[in-house]
Amino acid sequence: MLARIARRDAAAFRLVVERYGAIPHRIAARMLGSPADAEDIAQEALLRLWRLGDQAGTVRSVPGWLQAVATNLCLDRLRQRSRRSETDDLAEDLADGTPGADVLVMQGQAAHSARQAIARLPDRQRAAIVLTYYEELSNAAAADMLGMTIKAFESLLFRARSALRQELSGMRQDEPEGSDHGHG
Amino acid sequence: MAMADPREGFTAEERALLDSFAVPAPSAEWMDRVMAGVSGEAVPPLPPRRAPGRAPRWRQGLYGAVILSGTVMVTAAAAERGVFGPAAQQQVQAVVAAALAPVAGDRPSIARPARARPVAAPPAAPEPVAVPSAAPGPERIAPVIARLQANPQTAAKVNRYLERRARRQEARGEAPTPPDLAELARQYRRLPEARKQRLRQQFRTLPAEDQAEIRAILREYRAARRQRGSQAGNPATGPDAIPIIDPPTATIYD
Repeated sequence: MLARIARRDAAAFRLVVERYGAIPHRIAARMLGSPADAEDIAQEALLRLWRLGDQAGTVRSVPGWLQAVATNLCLDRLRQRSRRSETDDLAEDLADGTPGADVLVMQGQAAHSARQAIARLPDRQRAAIVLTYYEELSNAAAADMLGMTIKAFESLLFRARSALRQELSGMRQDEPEGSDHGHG
Repeated sequence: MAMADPREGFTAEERALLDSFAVPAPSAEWMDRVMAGVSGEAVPPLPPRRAPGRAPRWRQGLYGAVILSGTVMVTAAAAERGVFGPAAQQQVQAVVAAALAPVAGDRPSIARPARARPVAAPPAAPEPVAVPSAAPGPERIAPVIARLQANPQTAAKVNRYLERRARRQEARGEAPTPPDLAELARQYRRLPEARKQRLRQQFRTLPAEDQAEIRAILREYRAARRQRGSQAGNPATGPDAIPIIDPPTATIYD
């Protein structure tokens, strides 16, 4: 497949998009909170694979490669946002990612709460949670993707989990009595 | 190595909340958009073969030969000047192949072109700091890096730096590129003053010829920047300017 992509075979690339396109898409959706940004980042990650050209043969695993590239693209995007002090944009993104009322009725607000809790984490902590909790990567693999030592990553993950637990517990306390939003 | 439970540390209630953050699969429309992004670069499907008898065979052959020779000349001239990247060269080859199809009577195999001489950062690479054409390029720095790699005093650090750099590029989906002076200068600039001072001390422990070579490269770099600055009406005192004593291998010592 990668050899065919290296030869600029669009049909082979289409297969990769169909089979693995969801990987960068879901990482970006969880890290950025915005469906539109998620599509942008996922597209960019896939196009980078295509643009590798001759180098595509050096990719060991397409899913792993896409996970790493999408994560780093998301971190770049988050850095750009903070540089431009786009806190308002982030709020807009979160609003943008909020499903419609009908969907909310069906799903409850749990997904929205989780999205908000993750969005409040610092960038790298968010990446640590997304890679280990949602993508179920080992600490070693996630550390490698973020260019960190395992020790540094474990410390980051510990802080991320603590911060996330705090966010989630804060949300539970904020819930109005009798609310049926949460689970359990 | 056993993988740690990613859900470790979360209560059942918290897990349920986190698990509810599901992301829908990307739409077919989005996939089409991704594919549209590559359509310009993909090897185009060959045109349908002409019905026999539509034109004399010799005319088809002549037509193909004219296109082939023209394209080859243009490609060769452009490649000589380093104008084409590999992707563009492949597209040109595809046109040649399509032109020859009626002559060959079958789908011709497309030989992969020799990799073009890189003249610019690959499309996926980050925006490089603009360096004038006269500034020392990666090929000028390569021998120094090779010498530092051969020096037991610096080899481990240099190799670690190159390895980390390659990994960073790989993690960003960028094609690997050799280190360039603008990048090293940029990284050096960001270091705290104390670190810069320590690096200057380490620099002075390098073999004299390496020091001399590095200084020469830096002189060229600064001269090129000055030249560019005077052309643009600005002296080369911008943030990129680095003192002559500073080794360009700064981050190698990280």
